[in-house]
Amino acid sequence: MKNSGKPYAGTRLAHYLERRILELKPKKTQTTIALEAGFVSPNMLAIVKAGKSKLPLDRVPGLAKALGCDATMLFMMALEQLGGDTTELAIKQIFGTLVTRNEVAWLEEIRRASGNADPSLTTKARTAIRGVFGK
Amino acid sequence: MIAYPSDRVQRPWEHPLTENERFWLETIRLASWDSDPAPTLELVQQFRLIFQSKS
Repeated sequence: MKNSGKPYAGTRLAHYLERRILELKPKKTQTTIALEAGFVSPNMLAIVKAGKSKLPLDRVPGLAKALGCDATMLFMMALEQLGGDTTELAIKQIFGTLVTRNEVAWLEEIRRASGNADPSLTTKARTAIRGVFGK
Repeated sequence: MIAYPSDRVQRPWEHPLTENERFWLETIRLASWDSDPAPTLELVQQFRLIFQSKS
């Protein structure tokens, strides 16, 4: 075990939850989010946020709605918490790379702007992306 | 025969992503700190400049 009692503390999902709950703090509390997400015990969200437990996949739709984020993104993060088990592998094999609705739009933009040229990502383009999206 | 609703979202896994597209996506995810940025007019305009400067 990497982190005693907190095996999922270093995962993208745990980091994302911490940041998103903080962002929503002026609008709703963590308890409200947990109740909206359908957790029987509101404390379960705190446990997942702390990385003590992983997010069950069947909680993804409700939690995504409560957090106001894309369910696919949250699902991808929840999948990563499975750590390469057969469920994750099966989903990846069947669906390939999972993308959010917004990412679909960006992919279409890349295809349109490049004339479907499948452009490689140059160092210059990578720097420009950081400038556009890195706030 | 499978009937799809007309307003369904086209998911790229119906058109598999190329290796380059995966790199673009991963870079956007890293740069935006997984905030899943929406394609607002301002962002799209800035994004298109990347391709104009490539040509």
